[in-house]
Amino acid sequence: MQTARNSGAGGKGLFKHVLLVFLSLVPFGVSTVVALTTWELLEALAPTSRLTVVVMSWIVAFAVATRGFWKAVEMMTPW
Amino acid sequence: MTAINPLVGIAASALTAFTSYFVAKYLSGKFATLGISGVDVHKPERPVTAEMGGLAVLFGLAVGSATFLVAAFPQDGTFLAFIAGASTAGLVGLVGVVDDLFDVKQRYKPFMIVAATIPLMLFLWSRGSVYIPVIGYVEVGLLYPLVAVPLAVTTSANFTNMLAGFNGLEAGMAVISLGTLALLSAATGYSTVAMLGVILTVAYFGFLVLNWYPARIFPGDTGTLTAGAAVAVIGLLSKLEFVAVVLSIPAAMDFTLKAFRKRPFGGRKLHGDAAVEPDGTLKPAEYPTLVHAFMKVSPIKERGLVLSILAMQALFALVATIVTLGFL
Repeated sequence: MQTARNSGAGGKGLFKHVLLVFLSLVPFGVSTVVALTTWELLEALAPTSRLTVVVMSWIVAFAVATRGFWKAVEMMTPW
Repeated sequence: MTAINPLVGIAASALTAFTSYFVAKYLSGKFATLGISGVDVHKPERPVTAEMGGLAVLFGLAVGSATFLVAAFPQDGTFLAFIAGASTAGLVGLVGVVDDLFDVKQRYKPFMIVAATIPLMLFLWSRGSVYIPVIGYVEVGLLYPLVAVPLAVTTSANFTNMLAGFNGLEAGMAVISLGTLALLSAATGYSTVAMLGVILTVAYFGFLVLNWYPARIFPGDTGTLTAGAAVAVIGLLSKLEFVAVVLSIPAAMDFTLKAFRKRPFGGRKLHGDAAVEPDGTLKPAEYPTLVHAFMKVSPIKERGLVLSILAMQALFALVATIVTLGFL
């Protein structure tokens, strides 16, 4: 017996899963841009301190953007 | 750059794959009868499946490494890089064996993994800079061997250990990550390290044949910790730290979703695992993880879920490859 789940939802479901795969690039992209900007702004600092601050900024930006990824998942959730 | 005889490379890889596959096949029957097994909770019939299959990968690594070192002992000293890398990956694998058999407390595991990185720390003692594409080389002095090396191996091993629990997921991710690192190591002139990457890739591939849906054996912590450690090891040895970081992004996202909550990492204890419907569709538990994200947006079964996460891993492998080759 055909159900709503397997009748026509398959294509849309696949689209959402593919979309999610590409959406996962966003946290990485956002955090990398933030880290590179921080690197440029901290030219006066010693290399080790500069790198430490850059790594910290990358982690914070990544965490925030990953929360954003989850918000997007909740918006895409049908129930 | 050490030129490697292709026949030696092919022989070492073939022996590794055969060893890993046949040991995994033997263990899948033996461990199930010995009670070294777990319930496959993502199938409606909940079959009992052998655990600790990562041991087959370690056997494959040992046979492949021995074959390579005996048949093509590199004359320029790069064999030390190979031995340091293989030892560290192997020792982290042994930490996984201890964890699988005796269920080591979470707080002790990082220290055991740090101890396992000593061969790599010693080999990389004189390296004091890290390479980042766009930025270039950054001097960090002794922080590299003393902090960056153990931190990278421990973090990568634990990330891989957390994004796990579905047939073919851990071994599939290991094949993609280690294969990418092997390819880029060869492209950047680290052929001996690339050979270690190839051996580890085919070791996981041989195991994956039996771990793929429906799995006859699980990797256990032995397989997951080794995979994560191996990614960090190859990345550090061939100065591809950035690539190792990019390849860890899916696992890092999963970690972040679990960590930044009111009760960090408490979701599974509070809400349990994903439920399985009679037709095999997975229903997410009510807490954020990467696998639950795929289950939430649309109905998905275990096989489709694993293919989706592997596609994500392949996408990040592609990004790492383009960035690395673009900055060569």
